[in-house]
Amino acid sequence: MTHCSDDELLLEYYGEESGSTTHRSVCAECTARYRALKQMLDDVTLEPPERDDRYGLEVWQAIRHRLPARESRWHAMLTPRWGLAAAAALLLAVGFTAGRLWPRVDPTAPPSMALSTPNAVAVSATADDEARRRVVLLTINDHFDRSDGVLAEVMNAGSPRDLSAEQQRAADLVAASRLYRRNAVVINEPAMAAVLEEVERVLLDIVHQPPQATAADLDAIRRRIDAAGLLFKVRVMTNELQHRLEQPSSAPPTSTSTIG
Amino acid sequence: MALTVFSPPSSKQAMGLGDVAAVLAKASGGDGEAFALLVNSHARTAFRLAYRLTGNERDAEDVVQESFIRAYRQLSRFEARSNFATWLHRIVVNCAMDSLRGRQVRRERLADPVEDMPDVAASDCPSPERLAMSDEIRRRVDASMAELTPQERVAFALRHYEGRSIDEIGRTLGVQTSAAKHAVFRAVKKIRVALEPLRSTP
Repeated sequence: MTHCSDDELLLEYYGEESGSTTHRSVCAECTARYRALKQMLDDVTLEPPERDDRYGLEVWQAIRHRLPARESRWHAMLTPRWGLAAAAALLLAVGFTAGRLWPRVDPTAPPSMALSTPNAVAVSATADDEARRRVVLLTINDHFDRSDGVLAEVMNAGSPRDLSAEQQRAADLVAASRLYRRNAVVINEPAMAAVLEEVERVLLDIVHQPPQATAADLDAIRRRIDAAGLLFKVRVMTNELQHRLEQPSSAPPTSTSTIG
Repeated sequence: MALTVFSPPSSKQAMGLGDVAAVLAKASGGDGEAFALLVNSHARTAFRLAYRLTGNERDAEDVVQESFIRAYRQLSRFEARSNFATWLHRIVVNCAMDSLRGRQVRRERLADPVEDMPDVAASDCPSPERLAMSDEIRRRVDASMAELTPQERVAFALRHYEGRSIDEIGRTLGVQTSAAKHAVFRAVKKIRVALEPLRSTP
């Protein structure tokens, strides 16, 4: 009787085509060898460390400046190629108008008040443009962060469920978002304005759901969030803003890299 | 179907929409936003694969990044009817092979028998009181894996950890099925030799 080779037993172990099974049914020796092989290979395991749901963002941040010249729409817009003079001219023009139309920040108000009250943010092209710009970026960063919270809640909500708490938060965010969006345009951040608008539309969707959302309602919103990659965009924006706010000047850098 | 944005197993599931093809078309046209979504959808899967191929986090991270950069450069060559996950899988394998070859070259240059791997000789007679058997198995497997050629290592990892068929492995590595099969055979023999002393340990 010809016994199985080690290679045949190995193929059987991996479920590949092998003639060993038939032989083993009548051969105790080969069956014992197969069991030993199986025991050995069953012990060979390798479980990769977990990466959390922000890993995609980390990879993207690490590679995006190493990609060849083809430009991203909203990321390219994060680092506008307009000259500083053009940007300053725009700020001056729009800021002048905005400064006349919008209420100014109360200089005595604490920073947290300025952050939490959308109407407190006024944009003008005066000597403290940079400080105002940072305030706008801070408020938008905070807004993205809170929007992330609501969107993530909806994405992870068990269905069906009571959405009234998320709807209240979404309604507050929508109310603030319109001003933030205008401010983003004023400070020449069209990409940010575009993402704010996308977020706003989804937040409005959430607001307009019946409080007792059905599985289908939730599914429709999730699909919309998912289809737009909205959470990812919000997180990229938050990441980018945090990086910029950590810099001495919040002016869009010519090259930004937050990770790697 | 779960609609979590960051769940990666397949591009359709990860993107949660039926228009993966549209996203791919945009990315191929140089739309960085679309490519960012692809990165986001596939990064975790790519990392798991890269880790299993390279055996350590640092190399796996590098392989993931290099793979996406390579994918971006080659997107124009991606055929719309193909599966992006399958295409990316192959790129990750190739990048891992390059990484392992680089590691092998460095080892040979430094005449260092096992780079970044535990010293097996020091633990030839493990004390059951001091070492759990599984830890010792892991150490020995790591050490023997480090002695495999890049092709043996990748073929074994794809077969053993990833459950890929020998045929698929051959196609992925661009070699004949018999070559892929023998790469797995050689890998298992080396691992078996490394683990044999543990089998005879009472």
